Amino acid sequence: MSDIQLSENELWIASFYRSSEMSGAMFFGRVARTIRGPLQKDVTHHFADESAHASYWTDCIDSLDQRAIPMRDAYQDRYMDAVGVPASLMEVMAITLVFEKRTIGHYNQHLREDNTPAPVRATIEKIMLDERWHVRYVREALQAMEQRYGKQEIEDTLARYTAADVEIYGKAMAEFEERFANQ
Amino acid sequence: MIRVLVATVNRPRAGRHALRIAAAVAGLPGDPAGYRFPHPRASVTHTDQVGVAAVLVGGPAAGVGVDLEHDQPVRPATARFYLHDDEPHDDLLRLWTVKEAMFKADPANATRTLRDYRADDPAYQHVSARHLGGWLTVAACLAREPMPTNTISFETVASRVAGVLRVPETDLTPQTLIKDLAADSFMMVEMIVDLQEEFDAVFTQARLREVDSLGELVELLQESAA
Repeated sequence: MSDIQLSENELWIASFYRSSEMSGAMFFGRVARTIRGPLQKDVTHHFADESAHASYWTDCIDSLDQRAIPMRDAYQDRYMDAVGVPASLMEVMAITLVFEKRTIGHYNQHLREDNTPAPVRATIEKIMLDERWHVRYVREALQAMEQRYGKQEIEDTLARYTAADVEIYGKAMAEFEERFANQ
Repeated sequence: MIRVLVATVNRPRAGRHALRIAAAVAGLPGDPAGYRFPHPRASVTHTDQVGVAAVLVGGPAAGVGVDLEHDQPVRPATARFYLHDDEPHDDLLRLWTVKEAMFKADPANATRTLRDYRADDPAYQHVSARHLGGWLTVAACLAREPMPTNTISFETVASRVAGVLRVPETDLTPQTLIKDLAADSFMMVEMIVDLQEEFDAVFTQARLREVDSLGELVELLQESAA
């Protein structure tokens, strides 16, 4: 039996992370299944990473003798609701770049919490290694897409998604403020 | 024999200036603003140090392209975006200019990427040279078989949609609403990306928002395809 116990809020947050990683895996699974070009390898890797991250969170919760709370809600769903369905590979990559940067920022913020339980901290740190690669390959992919989609179109799309991200994240944090404040 | 005239102007971003000179020598219209690229007889490239123009002056070419890249480190990881695994990877900067020049020489490059070209494609001729502290490549598109494009019709699109979403094809009509097709947004993403990849089409989210029915989506694909 573990010496550490997750509080109700900590369990909810870890379960929310798990749900969001699963949602990411399902999203990238869909994209990886249809993609044909040079990104096929990276997107399939990304899909596998998101699945692994969901597994890490499940293992983390399990190591603390608890069970993840089943939930339908995931951060990605809020993106789709707010910005609509990405209609091209470029838009998929653009929304991914904005989302991954937000994820890194949020996980970093979580790590700064002094009372973060050690298994949660270790899980975030393990995931962050992959997240940084995600940002790098997506950024390179967008650069390579400039010929096809136009540099300005890509910049406009990123700006649009970034503006939406600020709003979505603000709303989510306001909604979960109590849980994050009372971990 | 393909003959190309190259003009260089040693001034930052002076591609249009170089074009004015090359066009005048070749007897083409001299106003650079009048050129739209890809152009069948002209191409420009510039860096923060220099501008270069290439103008086709003889030979049976459908297009010409020029690219200059000054010496700089090229990350091997990015090669996959412009080289196939079985193509040489010996000098990435030079190969980048080859692909860029081929892309510019292709009169129908609107929806293609650098990886759609192969350096050994017999439909192109290209020459690379060390120039101005970098690689300069000029390419000519001799002739090109039309890219294999799938016929975009209601039947072909409906067949694709049915396969991706696992819905009976017989249930689909031009009036079928797109929002009724996919059970969730992720399925919608898969369907839309698949259609763009399959039919070599490019359109944006804003354009997609104007479309309600499957019939309208077919029209959008037809308008947006290469």
